[in-house]
Amino acid sequence: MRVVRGGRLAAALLALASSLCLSGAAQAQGAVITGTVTDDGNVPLQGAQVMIESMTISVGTDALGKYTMNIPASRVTGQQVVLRVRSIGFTPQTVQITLSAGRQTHDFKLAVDVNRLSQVVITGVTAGTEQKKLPFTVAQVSASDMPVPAMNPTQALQGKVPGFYTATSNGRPGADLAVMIRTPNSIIGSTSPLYIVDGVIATQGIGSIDPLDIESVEVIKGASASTLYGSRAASGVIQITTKAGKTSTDGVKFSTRAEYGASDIEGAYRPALTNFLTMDETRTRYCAKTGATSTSTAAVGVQDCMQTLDLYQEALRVNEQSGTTIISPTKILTDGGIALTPPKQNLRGLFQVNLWPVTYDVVRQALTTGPYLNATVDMQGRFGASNYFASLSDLRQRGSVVFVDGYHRNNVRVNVDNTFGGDWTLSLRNYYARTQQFTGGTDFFSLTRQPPFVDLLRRDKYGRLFVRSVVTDQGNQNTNPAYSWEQANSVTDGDRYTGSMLLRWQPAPWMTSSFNFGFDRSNSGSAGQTNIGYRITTNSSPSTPLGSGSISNSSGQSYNANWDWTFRKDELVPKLNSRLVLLAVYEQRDNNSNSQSGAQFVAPGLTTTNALITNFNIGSGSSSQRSVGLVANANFEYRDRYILDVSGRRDGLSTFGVSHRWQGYGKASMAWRMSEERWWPLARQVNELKLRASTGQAGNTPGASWQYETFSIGTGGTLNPSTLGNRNLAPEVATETEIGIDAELFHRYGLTISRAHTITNNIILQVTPPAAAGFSSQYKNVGTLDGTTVEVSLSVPIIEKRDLSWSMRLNYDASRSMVSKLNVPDFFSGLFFYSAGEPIGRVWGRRFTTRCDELPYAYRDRCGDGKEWQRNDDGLIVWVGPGGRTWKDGITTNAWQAVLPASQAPYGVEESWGMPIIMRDTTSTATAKPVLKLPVGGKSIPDFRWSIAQQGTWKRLSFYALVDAIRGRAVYNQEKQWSLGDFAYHDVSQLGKSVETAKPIGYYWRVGAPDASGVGGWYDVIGPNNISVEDGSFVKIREVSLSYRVGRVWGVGNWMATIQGRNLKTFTRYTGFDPDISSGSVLNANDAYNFPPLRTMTFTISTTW
Amino acid sequence: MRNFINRLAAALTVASMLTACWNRGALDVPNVNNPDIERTYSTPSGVEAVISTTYQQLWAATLGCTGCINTEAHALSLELYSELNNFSMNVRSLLPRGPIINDRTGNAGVNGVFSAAERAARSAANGMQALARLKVASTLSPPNALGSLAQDARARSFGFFTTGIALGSLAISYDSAAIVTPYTPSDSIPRLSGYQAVMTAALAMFDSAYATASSPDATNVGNAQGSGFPLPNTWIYQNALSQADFLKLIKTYKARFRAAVAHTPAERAAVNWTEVIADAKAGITSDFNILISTSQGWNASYDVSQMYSQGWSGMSMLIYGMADTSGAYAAFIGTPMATRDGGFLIRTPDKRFPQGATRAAQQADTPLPLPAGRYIQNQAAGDDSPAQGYGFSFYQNRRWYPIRAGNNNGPYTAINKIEMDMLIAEGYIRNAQFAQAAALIDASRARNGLPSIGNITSATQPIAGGSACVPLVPQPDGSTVACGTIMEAMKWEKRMETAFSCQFLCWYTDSRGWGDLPAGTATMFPVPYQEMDARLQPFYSFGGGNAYTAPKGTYGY
Repeated sequence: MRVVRGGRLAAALLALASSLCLSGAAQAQGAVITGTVTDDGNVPLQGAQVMIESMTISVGTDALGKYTMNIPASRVTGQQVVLRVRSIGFTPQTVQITLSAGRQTHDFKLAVDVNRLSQVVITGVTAGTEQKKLPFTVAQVSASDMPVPAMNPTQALQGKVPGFYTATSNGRPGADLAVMIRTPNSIIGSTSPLYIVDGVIATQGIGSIDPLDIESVEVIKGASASTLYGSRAASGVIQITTKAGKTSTDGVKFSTRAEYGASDIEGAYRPALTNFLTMDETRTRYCAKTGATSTSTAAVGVQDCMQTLDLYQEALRVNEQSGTTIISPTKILTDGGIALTPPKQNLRGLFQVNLWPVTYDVVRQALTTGPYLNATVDMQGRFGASNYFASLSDLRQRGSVVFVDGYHRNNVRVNVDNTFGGDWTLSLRNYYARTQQFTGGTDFFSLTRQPPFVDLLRRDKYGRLFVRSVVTDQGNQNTNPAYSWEQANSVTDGDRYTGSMLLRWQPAPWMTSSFNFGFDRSNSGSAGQTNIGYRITTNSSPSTPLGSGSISNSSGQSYNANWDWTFRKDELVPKLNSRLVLLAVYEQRDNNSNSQSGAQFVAPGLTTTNALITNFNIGSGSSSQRSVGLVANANFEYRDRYILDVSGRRDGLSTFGVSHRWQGYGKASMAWRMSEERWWPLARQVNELKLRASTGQAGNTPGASWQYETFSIGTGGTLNPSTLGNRNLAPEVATETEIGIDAELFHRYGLTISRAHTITNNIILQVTPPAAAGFSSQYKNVGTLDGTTVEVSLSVPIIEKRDLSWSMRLNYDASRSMVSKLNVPDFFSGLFFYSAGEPIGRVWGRRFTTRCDELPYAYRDRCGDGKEWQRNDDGLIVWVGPGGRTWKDGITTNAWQAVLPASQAPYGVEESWGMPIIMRDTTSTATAKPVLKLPVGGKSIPDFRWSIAQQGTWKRLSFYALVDAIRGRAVYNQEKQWSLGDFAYHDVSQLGKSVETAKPIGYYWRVGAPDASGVGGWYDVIGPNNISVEDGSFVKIREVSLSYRVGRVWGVGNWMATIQGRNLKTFTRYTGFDPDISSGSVLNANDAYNFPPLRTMTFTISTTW
Repeated sequence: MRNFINRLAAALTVASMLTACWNRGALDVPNVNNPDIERTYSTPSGVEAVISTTYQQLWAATLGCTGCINTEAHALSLELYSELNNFSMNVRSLLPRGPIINDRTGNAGVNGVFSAAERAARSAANGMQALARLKVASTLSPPNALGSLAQDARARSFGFFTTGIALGSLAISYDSAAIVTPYTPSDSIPRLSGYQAVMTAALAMFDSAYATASSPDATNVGNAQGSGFPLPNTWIYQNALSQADFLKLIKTYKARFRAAVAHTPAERAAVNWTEVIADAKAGITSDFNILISTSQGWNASYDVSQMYSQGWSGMSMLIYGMADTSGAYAAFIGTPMATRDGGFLIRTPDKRFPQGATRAAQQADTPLPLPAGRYIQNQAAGDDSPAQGYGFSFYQNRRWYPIRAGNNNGPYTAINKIEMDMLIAEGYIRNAQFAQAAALIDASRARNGLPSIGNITSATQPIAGGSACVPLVPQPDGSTVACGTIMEAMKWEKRMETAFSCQFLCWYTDSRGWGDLPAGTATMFPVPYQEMDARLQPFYSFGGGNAYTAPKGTYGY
């Protein structure tokens, strides 16, 4: 493993050396163009780019706005060229000059381009194109839009791009976000976009890319713009361009930056501070239960309390054993939870009102404030015809779980551009990162089910944490998660190299050819060990105290090579400019993995699997994917206002079925810059107005193994048919039609409105063929999805003065998606139901009756105030019986034990007094009707989202704040639901309730027979219901920064001090840690013990020199 | 302009030439992680490996899974009463019977054995097709793909045998199934056929298995190319069956399936009992055991692992109570169903039950592991289930406790010799050969402490023992009991010996053929909705008033 890492490091250093050699070899002499670039207030613009595009020559301006462009004598022939100046945030300017030997001066004064209509886009197009001439949407986020550095690039984009959906599936340091752009284009495939970093298709993700290296990010949101990228671009494209010193002047500029702060978890968990266990009269000791089980029908009335115990002392007694195993605790009278089945008498008769004698904030004990440190140094500059950027960075984020180290990343980048021989440009990009991620600390399952009497960090006389922290009888959750966090070693090491070489040749102004080769490789090794002596409970894994170990390694690498030819012809006919690009693409992805595990180390202190002697398990796998693509793109621009862009791509992929190896995609886009028309009557009010329409196609490639026929290999080498291959498997093809307007009002306000409608055909599902086929499943193209997104962006410059500026950008989006066609029977999967016409993301589950008209027809007239069924204070319909009783009379009339026999009850299911009633299928002929699955509480695709980013400066002070919000997103709070199963969540506590509103424990437990053992309650076994699915709407202060430019200190540097925060404050009614959560994908809004997002507050000091 | 077009054309030509050079095969990437059918069947050993595991697949589908219909059928036939609804046990246990709800809101568990059996049949059939191809492909040298004619015959006969079991299992369970045979093209998906047609195909498979296994090729053990019989002991775990024993096993399954396919009493009566008797007589001569070994993939999950609690598998006193000679069972039957309480002692001479006049005595008589000859334990009071009424009892069948105590390892009887004897006896009874039947029944009764049934001369004559006879049988009026007939005596022996000890559905298929299922019980399982979904056909439910609902049974409920 170390040899491999060393090899990657050597490769990086070699690339660095070669890059610098090339740059040094490319010096040139010749004509000199100099000048100064300022804004319209005569403030010098540093970092403006001055270029002659036809000669691929470019220089930057220095701190005084000055530039010097040296042109080799061999290229100076007295020709006419266009000198262009651009700077981010300003409208570019051009001037036509005659290139001749000697010095000439050209100064520029640039106007502010508030809405960045002149910013050049390079993604989705075959040549750089200004935003105002783009016939489709490409969102741009530059480094200046990301003043708060994030852990990874996707985090940096949160809240900044309309239609860009993210959710945290694991908030642990170093973990990637789940991403979805606009609407889903697949059901079982990934909804993640295609990531490209400096021309390299980043098949290994972008989680380890250092956001501080990023110059800009461009986001293509759908197929109307992503056709050029073919079969993996239906879910959009994110292209990251890293810094390369393009706008640098001759020389070198160093920057250093040190950021220090801390992370924690904002949200809180609300445990029940009470219990229902039988206590003695002192209310400090608990009644022991004689006999084999804790539950007892004799519990109410406390007939079995001959022995009492102090739970706190009992925990000590159970754990403080000299050996590696512990002893079983004494059973406690009336105990009950998921691992036990409380008798119905208890479920109807016990109220959770006993305060634990001693309480601890268990979750807060486990969560801590962890340090955050990020130190970087970079250099950028230019030597003659070469510009470069190099950086080194060290990031450490401890995270917020006790005993668990977080994430550590070291990375180095070297980027070099070099022009040589006049016609040739060579660009090299090299990035290497080493990461170390400690993977413990995710056990929120047992953490959130520790009752408050548990002191999670308590140690015995041997200095050991308790391994069984819970001495009530609750099964798996009795284990102390902090014990494994402290004792088990679980870490993933990774290294990543990504690099590219772009060689461009421009033999004539009308033709360019470039060859780009990209390489992305990552290695990952995970190890987890428990040493001999690792203490266990009866529910521990491993089941012996002799330790266990596992090691797994995986590597992935991909290559992509593009070769394109671009032909330009200005004035093809008068006032018609044209461009034709032909492109050939080759990609290859290879992945390998292996794993090994076992149990029982032969001696302590070992970590190799060789030292294990039992339960061996080994595995390995490898896969390869290859693709070729042929692309043609034609672009026409007439009179600078009528724009037509037409593309076609034909892809061949090894992952397509063997009888469907090739797939074609097409795109046509048009834009009309209406405000450029001579007759335009609103030139003052609407100085820029572009109407655009684009329709295009792109694909989702099938999974690597989906086309293959496979047999599974069982115990002893048995071969069982598994997946029936599919020779005709085709990619999912998204066809998106986008229309929109881009406008600038009163030369100030920027407005962009887009509406995208996507139809994705050939949706792939893993279907079950008839059993007689012999195979249990097959991947088939069987359906169509239909999605619509509306996006609005508004840019508002509020104040623009020399010493004071303040601008605001508002984003809004709303998406809808549905299954429009399904050629297989309807089906449930996870939280969702898939059927033609069904909205994507709508959560289905069990539904407790909330209205009288939801009862079976025969009972509706008997439901209402003063009747046999009434609506209680939770809004649930409950049975209260005849005789004028209300739902408030359960205790005062001793009614909670009353039962309505199945023969008289709705659905033919016995009903308990005052308990929730679950809805069932009245059409069934069964005596007891089966439980229905129904929509239970909204969709995981929100109704709409908005964000407001505010940015400004006042003299030396600058500020930035980003607030984003989601409205109408359903989140399944599984964490809370399962805690109800152990009576551990706050809701089950009846403390402070009146005799009228108090509910017995069964109200919060399982539903009644025939589905489970309870009497009606909320826990409701596993699966969402209309109690556990909550409104996950939120408003979040996502990013804040405040900077002060100190300037030179003791004559050195240009110092700046900044405080910044991420994920600072969330306003929500959601009762879990954080509603910005999902499991795996954005759509799967399931809060299932996920590590919540971290809140981070840091201070940064930086300087340049 | 002209130059531009010329250069453009030149560039396009170059691009076209590059495209033409592209090797189309470069996109063909093999899957090196999983075998496919070509690779699986490309070697003789691969083909044999597929065929050799088909019995294990069927075992796993019928007894090795908890969620399969075997568990549900136990409840439907009153082999157990469960208050838990895992695997639909409770809903199948309840009286009056509801339907087998066969849709997405109902029970999905019925899919297990259907799909597994269909797939096992397909595996065996494909294997035999591949075997035939291999044999043709290797006509030069060596002459037989698997090494010898005997080895080839062994594999083919085993393939026919397991195809027969797969189709037979489907025929006794469902209303229809797809008939997959070695003559079905490997890429064809046959339509569903009725259960009688499926059983006809199954019996033909057994005949082919028998003919192949008894052919001269199969007996050519001593030839130079290698082995035929005995079967490798991994094919049927730890059963290295000789050629003779394998032939007996084929006949045994054939006898069992031929009787069990009857879905109604009328069909049972119409069974060719002469054939059944002949096959059963040619069948096993001692119990056919499987060594349960979870690490090797041989389970009997429900019958061994999970039956040992009242909640999971209480013994229904409606049937087991027939052993009682104390009058408690008569009182139980004399009580309306809604108020019956199964919490009574069974005092019986049948030594498979605990002996003793009090519960304590019976508990003392049945410590774990049970004494030899005892199958049933009077459980500790603390293990009593909260379930009350007709579903409650003091008893649990713990015949296979040693396997459970051995971490689910140990020998398990899949086919009792007594089962064959009682099939023969039933054939004799239906042929009015009462003396021959009585001899077989009495032999079993004697082993278990029960007296002779006496000299029986008619099908309606009570057996010996008077009001203390075993079994004491509820009458059609549903409220009285009377001493059973020879048929009831045969049924009692068969039930006691096959309770939780049969592969598979013995109680269920017998009870429906004997007319003993409670009213409303589904007499067969519908083709699972998942299969109908896959075929894009509508699905349907049976029982509970739908099609194929049993009328009131022999015992009056």
